[in-house]
Amino acid sequence: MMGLLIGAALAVSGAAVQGLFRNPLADPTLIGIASGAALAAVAVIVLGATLFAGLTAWLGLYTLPLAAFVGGMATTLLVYRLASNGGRTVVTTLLLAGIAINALTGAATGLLTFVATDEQLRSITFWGLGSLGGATWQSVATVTPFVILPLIGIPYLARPLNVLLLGEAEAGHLGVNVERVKQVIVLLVALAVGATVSVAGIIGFVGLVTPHLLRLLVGPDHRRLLPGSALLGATLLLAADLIARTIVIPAELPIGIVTAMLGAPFFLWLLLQDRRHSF
Amino acid sequence: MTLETLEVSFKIGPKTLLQNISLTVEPGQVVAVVGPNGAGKSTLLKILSGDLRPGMGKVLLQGNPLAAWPLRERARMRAVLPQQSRLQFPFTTLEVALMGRMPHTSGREGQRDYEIARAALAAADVLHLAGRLYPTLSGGEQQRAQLARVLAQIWEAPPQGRRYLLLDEPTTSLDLAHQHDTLHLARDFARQGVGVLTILHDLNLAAQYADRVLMLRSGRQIAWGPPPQVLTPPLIQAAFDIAVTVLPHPQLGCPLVVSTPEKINRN
Repeated sequence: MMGLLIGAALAVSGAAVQGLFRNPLADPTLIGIASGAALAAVAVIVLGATLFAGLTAWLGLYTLPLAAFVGGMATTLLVYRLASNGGRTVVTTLLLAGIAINALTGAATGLLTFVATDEQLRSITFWGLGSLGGATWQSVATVTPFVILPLIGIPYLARPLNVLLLGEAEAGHLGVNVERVKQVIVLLVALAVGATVSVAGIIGFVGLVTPHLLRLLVGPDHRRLLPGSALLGATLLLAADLIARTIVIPAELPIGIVTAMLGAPFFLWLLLQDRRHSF
Repeated sequence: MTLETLEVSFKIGPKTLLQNISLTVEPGQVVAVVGPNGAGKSTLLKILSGDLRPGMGKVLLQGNPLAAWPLRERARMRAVLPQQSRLQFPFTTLEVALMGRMPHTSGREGQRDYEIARAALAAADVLHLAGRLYPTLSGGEQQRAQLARVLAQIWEAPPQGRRYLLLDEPTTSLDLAHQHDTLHLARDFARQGVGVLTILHDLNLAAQYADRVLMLRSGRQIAWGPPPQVLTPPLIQAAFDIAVTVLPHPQLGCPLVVSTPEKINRN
């Protein structure tokens, strides 16, 4: 169940972000959501017993997911704020700000890892690789609303996303309120990705690979691409979960390893294809 | 009822890009904007399309401030052809033309939208490429596909009546025949009551197809009027720093601008 939700959310977010950035190689992790969420989670794991003792005691088991969720939202808002200038968002600046924030949160996460105890390290590693192992019916219930809202909301923006691919000015000339569309998409994507990272860690490449496969099948029209991505993303993650659970029985491999093993070579192959077609 | 600018000025920092420009695009007319690089032609077009807001002065569409029109309603009345469009995603040429129907439909495009998109592709002479993927087209073919998209956008007169077409250097990457085809199309649309404004580099195309010419230099208006009044050797010299001879066109009677290179005078 969790796998289906997360797969759908990541794939739809990936498709939306690729459309927004007019770049088929974009990924939700690019704008800082995933790494921000990761930083917040690691901070809670390492400092939870000391610095945030009161908070941890109060929120109990919910601390880690909530922290990741808040961290993801905060980073996205920060990157978005950095990139918007006088009410307009420059997409290249948004991407570059995302890269800078990714580096910064990466360094901060590294620093926290450095001071962590051995026991904490195991927890960080396992969580950071991405795993559905921690999913319970309770955590499914917690994240469902945060995932369902973007899953329903993003496909409503399919046509604006289509003409946005022509360019922002062109979309404006066709009557699209470009700034509004960008804000809503960033917010919905932050919701979806923040929620998934909070329960399952960073599961890479689903958001990148799924829309790509689908474009080969149904073309780039977001009216087919977005619902299709939800279905295929859910299916792919379920398949990856099956592999993760069976390949090293009786242990369970973190699913992030499986998706990266399958996704990264695919990504490289895409880059090569792209190079061949462009020149 | 027109699309007009009233004493519009535009500055970026200390640099004045446009100063006191007043011009009117009337339905049924083709207005050409000419001038050297950096004269402010594209800035003027962006102000007319609503992409930039003038620092001073007004832009009026049908007598009301441009910014007061809802985006979608604006999009039903006027279409804008950009200089170039970098669409990297594998849409077919037909799908690109269909995007022009966006302001007129909600949800899926209907039968009529497909008919209009195909007619616009035929008008832009790219119907034979309808099934091809846009990124695989040549530069000139892409420009004509974009032309089809903006034509599809204002193919039929909206209930309010008026339509406007803004073209930013529509002939740049086209061969000679298609340059003339494109401006013929602009004329055809003007004949149907569309107000057309086009930025042109070729003064002879402006002479042949425009009803009025606006000549700019460094953001200032050098001249504004019918081609024979604007395309004169002294005014062209003032705008472009180049000496020319202007002859009557042997068949059309419009001005024919011929450069006289030995007298090039650049300071």
